Amino acid sequence: MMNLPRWNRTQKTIRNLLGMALCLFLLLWSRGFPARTLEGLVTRAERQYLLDGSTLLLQTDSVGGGHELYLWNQGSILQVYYDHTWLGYELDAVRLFDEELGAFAGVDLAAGKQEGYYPIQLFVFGDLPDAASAEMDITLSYTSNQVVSTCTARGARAAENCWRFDLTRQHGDADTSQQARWEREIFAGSQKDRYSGTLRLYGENGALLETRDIGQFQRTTMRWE
Amino acid sequence: MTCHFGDWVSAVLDCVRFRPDRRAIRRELEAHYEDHVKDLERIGYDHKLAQERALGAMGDPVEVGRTLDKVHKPWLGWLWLASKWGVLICWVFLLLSDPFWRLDSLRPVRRTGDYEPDGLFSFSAGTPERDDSIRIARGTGAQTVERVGYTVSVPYAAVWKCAKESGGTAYDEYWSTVVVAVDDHRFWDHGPKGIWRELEAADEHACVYRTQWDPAGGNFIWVRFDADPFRALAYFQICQLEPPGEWLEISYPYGEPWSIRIDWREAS
Amino acid sequence: MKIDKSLMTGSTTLMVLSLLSRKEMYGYQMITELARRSDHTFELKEGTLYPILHTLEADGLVTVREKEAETGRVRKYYRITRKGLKVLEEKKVEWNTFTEKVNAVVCGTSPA
Repeated sequence: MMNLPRWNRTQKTIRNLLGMALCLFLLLWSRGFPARTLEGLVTRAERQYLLDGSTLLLQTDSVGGGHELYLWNQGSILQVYYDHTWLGYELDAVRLFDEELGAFAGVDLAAGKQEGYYPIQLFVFGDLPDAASAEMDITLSYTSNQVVSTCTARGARAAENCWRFDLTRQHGDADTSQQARWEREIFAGSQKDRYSGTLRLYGENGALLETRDIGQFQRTTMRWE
Repeated sequence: MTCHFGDWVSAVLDCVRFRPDRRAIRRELEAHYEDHVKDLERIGYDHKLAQERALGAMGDPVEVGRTLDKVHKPWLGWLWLASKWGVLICWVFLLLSDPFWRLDSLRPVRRTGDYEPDGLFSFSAGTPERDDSIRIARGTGAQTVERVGYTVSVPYAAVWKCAKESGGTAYDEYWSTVVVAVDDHRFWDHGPKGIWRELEAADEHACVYRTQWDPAGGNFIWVRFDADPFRALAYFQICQLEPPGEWLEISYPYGEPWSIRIDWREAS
Repeated sequence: MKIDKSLMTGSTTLMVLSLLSRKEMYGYQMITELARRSDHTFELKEGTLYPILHTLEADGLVTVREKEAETGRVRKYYRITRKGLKVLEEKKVEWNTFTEKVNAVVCGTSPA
């Protein structure tokens, strides 16, 4: 049996390594050259709208899988859908929101779990008066009509015309009521949470500047009916 | 094969650190020894004496083994084996990830040339708008804009007029086609996909043509998209354009806002 | 006549490449051909041929292909490459210059 002349080991190794490099390049190309870092992903998302210099507000899970980022850029919110795979950060979709009044919420993945649960953050943004402080009466519901808890949260300024409210669990671990169980499910990451509330903005002297009603919205929906 | 030759080969192979090569070396040395024994038998040696002679001719096994070890470097051997499996695994991964849907992005986008006769992109053949329209003006962007590494330009724009009649009254309708191009050397980038939904146009009569995605609606309509790794072209049509004046301006309001003016000149 | 081993070192590669420049051969065939051509003056230890052949293959001077022999064994045939031919020519020039100079000293002949 006659075989063709063979390459030597060094030649074969070089050929194989080049083949692997080509394959990896094609694999990266087929996945849209995923970004190596989250910062790289943010830059690509910004570039879709010819923007730069965004501030990261929230890194959270998407409904139905994947992850989301919310970025603040000169009065607008960039909502970035992405997947994190072994190849890197794959950009999925980017949307720009320029609302008169908008809100979104989600578990804060970047903060990590605290006593087994992620913190939830709610953001309100838009054409708001320049206020010194903000407060919000928040109603947390399980799906659209099962009220889980209500609370009043003090706001922290996340960006110009954007306020952040940190939600904490209202029911203790020992509470066995249905509301407590729903609350634990929501804070563990289930996506059946719904939010609504009343925003109050105060001036330097504590005077109430404005009150805005925010209708019920799902975790990462920017607008409501 | 006598146990003496077996011992000789084992002593050689013990010196070769890269184990995967030992089998091939053994086969080659055994073939050599067998050929020599057969040769000696052919000229009259008896089997046992032929084996002894052939073994004696092979030399010192440790010396042979050590010089073989210098050639069969372990680091190159393991690298070769790893690359052999690595390339197979990589190609299986690639085929499973279905890369072929991206092949159409390799076709280069046209860079020069006339966009006619396909100037009325959104109308079907056989409609009066498409069949009866004549081009009355054309132009290109007066400047290019650089933002975050992209170069935005308007390589082509035109105004079309279509004579229409309604209830016995004759009137003219105007349409505009605008092609916006974005060039970028970063082939790994996804391109400025978001801006196509946010462009708008205005003319010197202060008529504003908003994007179709504006909540209040608009008639600056995106029709088609064409892209390769280095260039993207978005084709727009403005419906129900006011009678054209001297210029039309395309603008984008976010980030560092920009606009590109198109000065109309009569179409030949 | 037995030749000093130190004189053999360095010229074995030249002789192996020279043999292979005529046709492809397997290991034992090279040993017998070397002995025949040198009138049995060069009878190197046969096992030491293989490190030389494997080194030549690693350096790209020869390539290998396998062929089944009459005995059913698979033999490795070595064939010289273009690079090997080039190196052979260089070594021939080197050898001729070397022997000429040695002869000039030993035999007292004037250099050409």
